Amino acid sequence: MDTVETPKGTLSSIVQAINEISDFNAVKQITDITSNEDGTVVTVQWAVQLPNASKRQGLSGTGVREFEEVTWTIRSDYPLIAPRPWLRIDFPQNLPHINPRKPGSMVSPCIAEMSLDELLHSNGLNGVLTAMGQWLDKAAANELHCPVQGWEAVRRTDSQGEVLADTHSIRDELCKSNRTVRYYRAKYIIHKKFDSPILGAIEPPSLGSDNKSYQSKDSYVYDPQRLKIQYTPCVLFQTKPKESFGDYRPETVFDFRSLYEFANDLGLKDAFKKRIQYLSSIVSPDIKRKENKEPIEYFLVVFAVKRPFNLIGLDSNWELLSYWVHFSLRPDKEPLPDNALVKPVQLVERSCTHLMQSVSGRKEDKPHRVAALGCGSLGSKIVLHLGKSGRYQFDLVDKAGFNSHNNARHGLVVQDFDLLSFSKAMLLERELTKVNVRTKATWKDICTLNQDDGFTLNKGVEYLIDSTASLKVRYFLSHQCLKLLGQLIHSVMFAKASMGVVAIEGKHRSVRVDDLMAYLNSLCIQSEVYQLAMYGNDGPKLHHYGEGCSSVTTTMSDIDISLMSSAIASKIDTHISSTAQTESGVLHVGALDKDTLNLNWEKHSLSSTLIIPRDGHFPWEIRVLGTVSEQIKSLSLKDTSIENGGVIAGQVCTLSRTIYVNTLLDAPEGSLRSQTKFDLSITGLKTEFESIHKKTNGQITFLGTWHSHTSPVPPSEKDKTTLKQLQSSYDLPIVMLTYTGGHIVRV
Amino acid sequence: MSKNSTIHHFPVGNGDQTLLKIASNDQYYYVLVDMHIRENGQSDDDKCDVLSELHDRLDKDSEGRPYVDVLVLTHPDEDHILGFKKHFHQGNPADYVKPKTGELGKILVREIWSSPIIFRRKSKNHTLCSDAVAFNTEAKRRVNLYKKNKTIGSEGNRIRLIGEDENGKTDEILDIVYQNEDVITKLNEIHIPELKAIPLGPLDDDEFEEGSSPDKNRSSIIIQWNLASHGYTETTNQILLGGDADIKVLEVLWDKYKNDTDKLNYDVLLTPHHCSWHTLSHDSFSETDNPQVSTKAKSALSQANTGAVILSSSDPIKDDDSDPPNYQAKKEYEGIADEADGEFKCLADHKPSNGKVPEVLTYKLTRSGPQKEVKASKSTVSSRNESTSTLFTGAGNAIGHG
Repeated sequence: MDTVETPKGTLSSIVQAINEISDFNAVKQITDITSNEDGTVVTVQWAVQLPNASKRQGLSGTGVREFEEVTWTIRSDYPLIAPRPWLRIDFPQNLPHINPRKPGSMVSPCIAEMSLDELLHSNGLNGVLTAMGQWLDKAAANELHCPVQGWEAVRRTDSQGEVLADTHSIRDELCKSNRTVRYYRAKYIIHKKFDSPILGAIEPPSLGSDNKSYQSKDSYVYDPQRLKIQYTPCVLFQTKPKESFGDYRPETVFDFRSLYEFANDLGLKDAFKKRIQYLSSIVSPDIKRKENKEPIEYFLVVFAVKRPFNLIGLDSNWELLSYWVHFSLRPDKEPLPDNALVKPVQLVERSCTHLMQSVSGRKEDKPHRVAALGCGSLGSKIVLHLGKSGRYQFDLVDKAGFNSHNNARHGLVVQDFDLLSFSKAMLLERELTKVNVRTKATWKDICTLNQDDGFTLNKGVEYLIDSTASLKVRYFLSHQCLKLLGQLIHSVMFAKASMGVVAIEGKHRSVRVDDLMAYLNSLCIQSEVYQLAMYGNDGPKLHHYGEGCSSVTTTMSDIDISLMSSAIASKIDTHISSTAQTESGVLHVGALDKDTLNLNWEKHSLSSTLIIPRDGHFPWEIRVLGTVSEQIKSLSLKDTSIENGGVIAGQVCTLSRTIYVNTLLDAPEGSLRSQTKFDLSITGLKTEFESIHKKTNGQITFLGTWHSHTSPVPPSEKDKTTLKQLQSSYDLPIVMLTYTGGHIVRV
Repeated sequence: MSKNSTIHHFPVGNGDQTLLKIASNDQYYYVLVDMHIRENGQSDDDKCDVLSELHDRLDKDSEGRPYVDVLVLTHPDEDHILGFKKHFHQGNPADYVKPKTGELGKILVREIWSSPIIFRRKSKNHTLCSDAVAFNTEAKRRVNLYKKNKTIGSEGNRIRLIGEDENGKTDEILDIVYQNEDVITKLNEIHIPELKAIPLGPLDDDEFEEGSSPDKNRSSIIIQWNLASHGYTETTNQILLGGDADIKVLEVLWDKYKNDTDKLNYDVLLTPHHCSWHTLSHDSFSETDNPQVSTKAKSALSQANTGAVILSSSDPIKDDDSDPPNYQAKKEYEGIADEADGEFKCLADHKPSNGKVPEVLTYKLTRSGPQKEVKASKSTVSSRNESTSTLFTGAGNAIGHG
């Protein structure tokens, strides 16, 4: 091998790179080293592994040679910037994964799915050289197009401008019905300041296939003096669904003649001719002038070409190739001569739920309809997190307007007249609509749901997320909305977002949010962390922010809320995405360690709540939580030869006249158990309840007693006497429960 | 970067060990055809460590067990099954024992493909080495499970038989029997669109001349593996693997397919019986003055596609009377390869790194047929970075999300 000298003065880092290139297995020989204004240019002879069938000829079926010349440009700022490979000018162009280039220039292969600079810094120069080798070997074996990776869109060197389009819905239409032609409305502006002069948009859905679906009046120039937005036709031609076009070739269209030839190649010649004739007859400059209207300059042609497999990054094998066609504006000329300018243009996918699903990594055909009750700091963030996954639609309900101080923590940033004009729900709706998430805002008090003067929710609502942290709303949803359209999920944060709660009701409200929150209170007895978070005096207070701004809220940062709200949103998302609802209610409680930022979540499942309805003798509804009823049953059946019993505790809601039995205490020492009776001792009970009151801020209190019967008999006279004695010496209702005959009954 | 199908030929001396790594639906499916895993550290230290090489190419399942989707045993000779007992799991998959730290785990075989020879009793013509006995026991365990449950078992309990048993032992399990010329598109009960495997043998006894005595080589499974590149269905790679199919088998095959030679086409052929002269000729090479090549047998092995590779999985081929591998047989195969603009290779001579030890020979299975895979880098340090194809899976410095 002849040695090629490295030019004097070459930087040592580049010399090292040249040596590494020289040592690479596929490099047979360095044939030239020069320098120019781009840096050092190293030309090498590269051995390509041809398929076995092509070895004898030394040339692959795709036109790749056994030895290819590869030119590496190494810039002086190497290794910051990776060397770029170039191939001979006449390297086959009908291969994918080649970067656009100007005619007559060397071919730049696209050798990695990531930036070459990142590849260099991840895998070293060897990684770049390996990628080059793999690319050439694949090119030789016709393997650059891989159905699993996807079809690469037609390579365009001279793309002019961009057109925004809901490409997903366009492709949906293509799949739903096979029509050779479709008309759309399109618009564009010519922005002379930018390199891409034409910025446009297509407005789906299609108007139809018949010529009459697009009429002359649909085409006009809006504000011709200033904005000059040109409303123009877009005509889409679809190839036959049963025929796919698998030959890759770079863009060949540059004028009207080549556009026509392309249509011909796609089997669309006749349709193309007729529709172009029609468009010329209604929107050409001559026609517009005759109508005394400003002529439009361009219209849009899109070819939907079926490929043998899905395009890269898409779940569709329809490639959309679009072109701006320029009318001749001279009165003495045909509107569309053969040499009329045609500019290939890039379609840019508009944000839509399908795109967001792809990026988020989970796809679902049918979005979940969620009613977000409350669009404050927590609610807005939950809604935005869920909405951006592309798998949700929303009914947003909030009666509050947006105040300046909300900008500190809300999911939205709002200014100017918007602050004065819109409710939080409407602003959030506007934001979600920008990314095509179907949303309906209601500026109403949540507590007017299903009321005559209130509002109703979409019938398809599957879940309701109450993020208001309002006790009034919780009361309303628990006690006044006995039937809800969907499953109720309650989310709330405590203690400057150091604790987060997600309470999910059981199927058919077998366990309600108020049951779950009563259970949460009982957890404070054992957990100091929860106790401090809920009752540690770190909750909401009246604050004055700025001029005239006051609010009962907790002072904390957007960071604090965001950390917890994303975790809460994740819990909700996981629940909704998981299997069918169960009878059990679920309580997720997350506690944040502020120092380490570790977030520890606990999950509690509660079986159906036992409801003992109120009656004429006792006007209180008793709700025995599943955890308690299971404990009573278990203790009763432990030894069926003796009566067992203990103390029950829980919460009392005097407004709704509801008693939540959420805690069971062991019978104090000295209690007597026998075959015929259970005598409860009260030793130490007072002290124990003082402690419980302290830990739960007085929320959990003594409710009464329970005991079992060894035989299925109703409560005895002694039971009733004991109850009366207890009730006479206590200001809250006293409950006595008996486990008898396999059931829990109230005495 | 997407996955590619490959075929790996392990240099195991006089024996066979071929791994098909089939890319489909963005996953790999592994088919091991035969094995010849000799113990290391003994007389010949300069042999390839094929066990490690095999493990390097396999994946592990969710329980950390290395696995193959299908193990095809062409026939139960030691040079095709050596190492099964020690290195492959036998018995209920639930009883898999995890390896000790630093040791290689036993390979779980999700599905076995075997000839019905497993039902044959021991005889003078049918003796079994200990690995073959272990394989037979495992195969029968799976067959009995099927007989008991009347349904295809779970992974690790599955078996398919290639061909029916002559004594009717497969009559009640015909649902798990593939017949010759069936087009198999499933591996381990998973449909592989890129695959069309066509069994051509073992042949039925009544296809042979009367009086010819059956032996293990006559029971050898022969499969033409037709494979498409990942994601395609048009097969562009034909691989003919026939174990130790003997001359009588090849002559019958030619009689059978001389008017339908597509069935015998190949891009890669593993020479039957390690480049044995007896595959090509009825005459003894050492004891006959002018041994003749069987035209039919040679024709059956001559259906090479352009650029075909004919491989001898054997010890180095010396210019003497040894057999197998046999020098004159090599010459015959070289002639066939030359006609097709292809090449003949002996795996024992495949030493691309110029070391003492032969290396695994790998071909990518592309849209344009097989394409040799070469190591990208000379340096051992940078070979770590070879896997640019796994850019996002940690081959290099971690790339985060900004």
